[in-house]
Amino acid sequence: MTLHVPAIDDADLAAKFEAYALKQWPEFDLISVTGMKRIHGGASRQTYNIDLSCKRGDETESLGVILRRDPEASLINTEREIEFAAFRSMTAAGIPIPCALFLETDKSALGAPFFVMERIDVGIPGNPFQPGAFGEHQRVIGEQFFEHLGKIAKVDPAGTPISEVAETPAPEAAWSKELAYWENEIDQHELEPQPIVRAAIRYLKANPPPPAQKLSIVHGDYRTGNFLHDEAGVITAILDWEMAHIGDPYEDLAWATDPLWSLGDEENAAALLPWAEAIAIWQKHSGCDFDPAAFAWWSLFSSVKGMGIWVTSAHTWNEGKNPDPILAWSGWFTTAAHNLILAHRLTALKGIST
Amino acid sequence: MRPELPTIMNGLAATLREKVAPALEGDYAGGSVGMISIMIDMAAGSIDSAVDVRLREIATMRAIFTEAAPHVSDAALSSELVAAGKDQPPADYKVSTLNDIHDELSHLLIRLHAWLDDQSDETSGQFVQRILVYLLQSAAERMPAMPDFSEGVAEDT
Repeated sequence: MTLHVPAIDDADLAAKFEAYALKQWPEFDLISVTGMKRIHGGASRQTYNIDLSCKRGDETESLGVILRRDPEASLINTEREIEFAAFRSMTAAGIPIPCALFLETDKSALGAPFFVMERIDVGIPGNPFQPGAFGEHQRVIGEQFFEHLGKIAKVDPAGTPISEVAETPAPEAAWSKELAYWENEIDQHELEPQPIVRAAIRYLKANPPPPAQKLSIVHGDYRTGNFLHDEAGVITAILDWEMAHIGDPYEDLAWATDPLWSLGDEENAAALLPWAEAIAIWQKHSGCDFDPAAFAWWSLFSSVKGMGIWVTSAHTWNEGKNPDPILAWSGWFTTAAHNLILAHRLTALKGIST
Repeated sequence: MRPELPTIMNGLAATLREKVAPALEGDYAGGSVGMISIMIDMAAGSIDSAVDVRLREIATMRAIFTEAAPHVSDAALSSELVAAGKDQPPADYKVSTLNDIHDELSHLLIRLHAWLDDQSDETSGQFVQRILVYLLQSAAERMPAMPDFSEGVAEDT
């Protein structure tokens, strides 16, 4: 699927972007925005799909780019420097990602910080809540999904761009750093008491996981819905690195396989591939040994992290800082779903039959 | 009032989903309208039982507090449990009024649960189980039905 953009949503933004792009690419005589459409989703950034016509002498070149601009408030409060650095850190990892082009932290150019990346013209996102979204290609998509996840975990973060902007925790502190972060998000943003996630947090603190086998670049939101596929069985881009950080690679594995993304499919990890096959592929490409104790802790943590995201989302929407309906959806449906997932997990830990 | 509110809301959602969103498909607006239609359906699914669900949850929490209070050796917490466990009719039956009462009781439930988690005796363990069963039942009851995304409504959190 080729994503040429038919019209311009925001003429003022387009004009400002033309001026900015020309400064970044002085080799061109003229850059014109021929299409600019805001993309649905991408709740933590305002995401625009842009067609550019770039003139150099008598030659005209067409370029497609994606603009990711910070909203006033978003689903998650993340730093675009880290997301940009994450893209640049993964260029040699052997996974399909767009090329990161520009990072702008000054608000004067487009009214808010933003970054620009190459547009991948082949591929559509899968809906994580649509059963059978990949049809006959589910297996091959699943194999690539866990291969790419393993390759991300394989990258040594030392010396990469993300290591310059993100904290590197000690292996034995990776869990407590993440748990403290998400507990604080819930403390700051919950609109109502959350007895289920509070019980889960107490359990996680009282039963810490083993130290990280290794530190890796953690994508932070690796799951169905955050990659593009060509509808013929090939993943063409891994997207949405806004929650990237350095930590325990089990965090990504557990989040990718959280029941929220599995649609009740207990046989297949991430509703894509039988568990044993998925874990074997991840082990092969990550170089990690699968540790059930570590995975169990990070799996419970994943649902707590989910609650942290959704609670923040609900707060942002409720404050009127960002009217995007996807924030209301996240604050309602996914909050309810993760509450139920956590309640099942906590009762199972106590041996309560339900 | 007839038609019932859920009927009206389902009808509005269907119009948005089937008539309006397809005309905007592929745009930010199209995806947003589709998402709005889904949430209107979710609201329709919960509005009829909203008061009933909250009243039952309030009653269950109060019953837990009343039964747990004699077991709790923390005098201040025990006293709060006794007071909160008393059945008091709400000032009115607005959902917002019931939510306020529910929030207050839920805060106390968290404190009770945390206290019980720190104990090692069998009775505390039984109360923990009772609380978890209540929380699971509540979470299950409040879980909206999974929306049907097969109509092409975009979703990406």
